[in-house]
Amino acid sequence: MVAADAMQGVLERFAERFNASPDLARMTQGWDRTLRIVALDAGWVHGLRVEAGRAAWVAAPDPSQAEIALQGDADTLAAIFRGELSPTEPYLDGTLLVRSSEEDMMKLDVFTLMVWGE
Amino acid sequence: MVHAMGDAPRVVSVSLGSRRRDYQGMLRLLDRVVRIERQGCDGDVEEAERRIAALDGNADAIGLGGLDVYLYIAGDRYVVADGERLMRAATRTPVVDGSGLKATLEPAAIRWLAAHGPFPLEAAPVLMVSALDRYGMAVALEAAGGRVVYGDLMFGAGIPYPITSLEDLRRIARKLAREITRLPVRLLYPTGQAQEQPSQERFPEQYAQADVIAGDFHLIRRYLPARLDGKAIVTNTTTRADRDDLAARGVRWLCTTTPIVDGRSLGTNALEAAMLAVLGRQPQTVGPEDFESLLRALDYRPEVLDLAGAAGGSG
Repeated sequence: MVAADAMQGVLERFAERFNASPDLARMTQGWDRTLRIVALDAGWVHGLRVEAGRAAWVAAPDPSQAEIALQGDADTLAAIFRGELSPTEPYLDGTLLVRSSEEDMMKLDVFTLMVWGE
Repeated sequence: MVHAMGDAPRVVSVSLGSRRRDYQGMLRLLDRVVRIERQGCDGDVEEAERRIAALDGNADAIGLGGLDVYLYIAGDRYVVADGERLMRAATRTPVVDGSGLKATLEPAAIRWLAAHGPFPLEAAPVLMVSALDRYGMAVALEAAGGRVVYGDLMFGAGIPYPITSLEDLRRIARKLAREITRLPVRLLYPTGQAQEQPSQERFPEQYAQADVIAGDFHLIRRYLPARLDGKAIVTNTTTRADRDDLAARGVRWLCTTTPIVDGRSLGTNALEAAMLAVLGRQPQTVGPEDFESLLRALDYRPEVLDLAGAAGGSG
């Protein structure tokens, strides 16, 4: 099971890769969002903030501050942000719960694939 | 109006679109008349599956509308999961989504417009609202000299990223298409009641900058700005009401790639199903060369309507 400190590293590397992409800087213009990422089995909560086209890890955001909430087991969440697993598969099989508007969910899927896709 | 014609093949287009757009009529293809009808399922995938199963063995060919099952992009094929499930609902009657024909028909329509159309394509600013479902049209528009902006990310996902080259389109498709096509179709495309909702402007500057707006009509219509003075639309599946709406917004030319039956231009799926019924062949035995020879035999050309002065009327 991925521990809390390891997940922070996963999200920081994800943010580095996100921030290295000129595509994502353009695509996320005007899309300032906080993601609340909850591991139901491990009990940790992390956050990811996207603002002005850049992403950064943030410590556990309050639910009221997060426009998007992702819930799942620690290994699935880590696999998504490591690029080992597309969010589509766990979302469709119910392993990943996403609470957001449908449009935000679609955008998050696109942005994650742009970081890791192919 | 369907007439009693004992030997006329029966083709049914089962669509995830609104049932308010249903029609029935006759289509002449070469020396045959085909009975053709549309059955909308208002976005209900299970209902579409039941309809297809009920038609299996009771129709000569079935078209699948309101979604694409197969996307062909630069030699790669992507399969839309919901669509594949619907295809499997019939085991005897051939089911087609139009993608086989589309890859031949739409480039032919663009070539005809480039050579004979009433508005220029060469150097024209073109907005193609989505190209992943119409890659053949995208290639043909660029070959005709159009300066094309592809709106897949803008109109498909609300992402402010106009794609400005086929190379960029292919690059993005390689990253996204395989996963995105696994999502439920309602997330990918306006189905059912979403096809009836009033247009809401999105990226209106892209419409304003284009002389020609091309692609899927439901995506075009969903985000239409109030005024489109003097512009040309290249699409299909438009109804009389759609033509009136476009005319009222100032659109000059409406070009549909498919023939008009009962006042509305057919879905490509319906036309492909009609062609299969006339040929009496299974989809896997019909290739681009068959469609090309059929289009030549039909002396194919797109329908071009001049909407100037048509506002308030019904064509």
